[in-house]
Amino acid sequence: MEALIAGIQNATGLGPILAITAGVSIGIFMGAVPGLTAAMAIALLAPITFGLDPLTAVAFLIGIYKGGTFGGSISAILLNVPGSPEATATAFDGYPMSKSGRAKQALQMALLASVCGAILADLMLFAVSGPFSKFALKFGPAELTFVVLFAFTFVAGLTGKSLSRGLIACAFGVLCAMVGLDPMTASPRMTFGVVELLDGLPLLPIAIGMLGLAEVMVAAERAFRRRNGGGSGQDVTAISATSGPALSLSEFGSHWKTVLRSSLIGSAIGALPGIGASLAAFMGYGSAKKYSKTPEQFGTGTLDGVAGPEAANSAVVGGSFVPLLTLGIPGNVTTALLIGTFLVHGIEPGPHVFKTEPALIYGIFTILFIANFINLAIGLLGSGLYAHVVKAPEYVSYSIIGLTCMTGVFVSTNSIISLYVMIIFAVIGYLMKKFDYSFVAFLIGFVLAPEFEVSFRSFLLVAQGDPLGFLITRPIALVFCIMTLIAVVRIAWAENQKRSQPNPNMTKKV
Amino acid sequence: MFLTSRNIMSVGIVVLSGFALWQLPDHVRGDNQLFGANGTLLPALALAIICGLAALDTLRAAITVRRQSPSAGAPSDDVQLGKASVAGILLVTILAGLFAVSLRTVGYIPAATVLVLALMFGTGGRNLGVNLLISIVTVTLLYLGIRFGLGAHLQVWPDFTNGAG
Repeated sequence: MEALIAGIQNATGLGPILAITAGVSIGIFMGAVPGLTAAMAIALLAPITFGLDPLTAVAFLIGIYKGGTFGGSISAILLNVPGSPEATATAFDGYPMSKSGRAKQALQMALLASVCGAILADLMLFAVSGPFSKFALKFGPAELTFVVLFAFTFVAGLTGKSLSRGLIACAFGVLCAMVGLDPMTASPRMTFGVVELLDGLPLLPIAIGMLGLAEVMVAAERAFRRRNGGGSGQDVTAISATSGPALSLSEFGSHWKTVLRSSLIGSAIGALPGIGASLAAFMGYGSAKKYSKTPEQFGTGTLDGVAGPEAANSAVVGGSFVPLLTLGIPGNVTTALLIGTFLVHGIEPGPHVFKTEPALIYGIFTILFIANFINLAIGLLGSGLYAHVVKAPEYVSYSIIGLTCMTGVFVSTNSIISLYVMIIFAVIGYLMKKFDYSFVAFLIGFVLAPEFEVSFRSFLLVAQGDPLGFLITRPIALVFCIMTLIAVVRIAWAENQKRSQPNPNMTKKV
Repeated sequence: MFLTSRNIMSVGIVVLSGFALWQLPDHVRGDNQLFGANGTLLPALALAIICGLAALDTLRAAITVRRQSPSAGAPSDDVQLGKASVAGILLVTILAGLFAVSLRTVGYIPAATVLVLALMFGTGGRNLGVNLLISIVTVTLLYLGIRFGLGAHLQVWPDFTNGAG
C-alpha cells in the first residue's frame, strides 16, 4: 500500500506531468504525419531523456507511445492516408465520414474510443501484472531460455511475410548483440580491434538508423522516382478537422459494446509478442462489423467502423506492457526501444522489479492512466492544429528527421563511430524493409539476446551435458519448448498452404 | 527465372554468413568448453541459422523455378531495386557520411545546414530560398535546444586553429 501511494505521488509530480504532456503532443504530431511513427519518435527522442530522472523519462516516452497511437488516426480520417500502419482500418470509415462533412465527429469518436480502449487495457495490466510477476519469479535459466525462444519464434513468424526471413532477421539481431565482451568470461568477441566496440553495438544508433534514416532513404527514393516520372506524387487535400457536427456523449455511449469488445481484443493481442497493433485494429474493425446490426453500412462512414479499430489499437499499448514489465520481453518495436531506455535508466524490467522497486511500477501504472486523460485533452484541443501539420511537405519533414537522427545520435554518444554505425544500419534497415526481413524481429533479437545468452548458457551448464533430460524436469520450460515447436510447425504449414495456392502475381514472358 | 533480386539476396546471405561462420573462431575466444556453453556458441548458432535458412530459401526458389513452365517469367512481387533506390541510398549515405566526417572540423552549424539543404533538394524541395530559410531556422532551433535545453556543448563553427578532430 505504501508503495502504491509513493508511486502515485511520484507520478503526479510536476516533472512527470509536464513530460507526459510534451510526450503526448510530440506523439500525436509524429503519429499524424504519414510515414512517421511513435517508435521513430521514441528512437529519436530517447537520448534527451538520459539526463532526466527515471520516472520522468518513462513518462515522456509513454506519452509519445500513447499520443502516437491516436495521432495516426488524424491523417487517416482527414486525408485517407494512415499516419501509422495501425490506423489503416480507421480510414475505411473515418475518411468517408470526413467526405460527408462529419470529420469532427469521426475525430472525436477516434479519440474517445482510443482513450477508453487504453484505460481498459491499463486496468487489465494493473490486475494481471502483479500475479503474473509472482508466477514469473519461479522462472530459472531453463524457463527464461524457452520463454525468450518462444518470443523469438512468435515475433519472427508473425511480423513479416515469411517465417524463414523473420528467423534470419532475428538471428541477425542476436548476432549483432554478440559484439563486445562475452558476459560470462569478459573476453572480446567480434570487435575487430575497435575499442569502441568492446561495449557492444549501441541500441540507439541502430534503432535510429533503421527507423529514421532508412525512412529518409525511402523518401529520397520516392523523390527520385517522381523526378523520373515513374511514381505517383500523392495529391491529398485535407478536410477541415473542425467542420461538421460534434459527437454527443449519448452517441458515444451507444457504441460502448464495440469499444469494450475491441478493447478486450486489443489488450489480449498486445500481451502476445509480435502480433502488433495493426492486426488488433483490423480485428477490432472486423468484430465491430460482425456484431453490427447494419454491417452493410461499413465502409460508407459509420461511427462503429471508427470506434472498433481505434479502441483495439490503443488497447494494445497497455497489453504490451504485460510481457514487458513482468518478463522483460518486448512484444513490438516501441516496447523494444522502451526496454533499451529503461536499462539506460537502471530499470531492469522483469518479475524482480515488482519486488525490488514496487513504487516505480505503481508510478508507471499511474503514468499510463494519466497519459490517457492528457491524450484526451490534447486531442480535443489540438485536432485542428494537427490537421494543418499533416499537410507539411514531405521534403521538409524528412530532411528535418535526417538532421535530428544525426544530431540525436552524436549528442547522446559523443562518438563519430556511433554515427557510422547508424549509417551502416540505415542501409541494412532499408534493404531489410525492401526484402521483407522484419526489422521488428531484428530489434527484438538484438534487445533480448544478452539475457537469452546468459540464460541459455546457464541452462546448458546446469543441465551438465544432458539438456533434454533436464528439460523434462522443468514443466514450464517444457511447455514453452512444445509451444515453440507448435508455433514453428503451424506458421510454416500456413505459409506452405499459401504458397501452394496458384500465384496470381506470376507474369508470363511476353 | 531464378535470378530475381530476392534470390540474389538469399545467395548473398548464404555466402556472407558462410564466410563469417568460417572466420568466426578467429574473432571469438571460445576456450571455455564447459558443456559447449562457451562464447562461440550463440554467434555460431545465429550464423548457422542465417546460413541454413537462406540456403533453404534459395533451394526452394530453385525447385519452384524448375517446376514452372519455361514460359513463366519473374514473379511480379519481386523486389524492384532500380536507379531510384540506389540514388536514394547513395544520397542519404553520402550526405550522412560527409556530416559525420566533417562535424569536428567544419563545426555543427555549417555541417548541419548543408545536410538539411541537400536532403531537401534530394527529397523534392525545389525552391532554394525556402530550403535555405527552413534549414537555417531548423539548425538554429535544434542547436539552441541542445545547447540550452540539454546543456550539451558542440563545436559550432570551423576550428582553424586545431587540426582534424
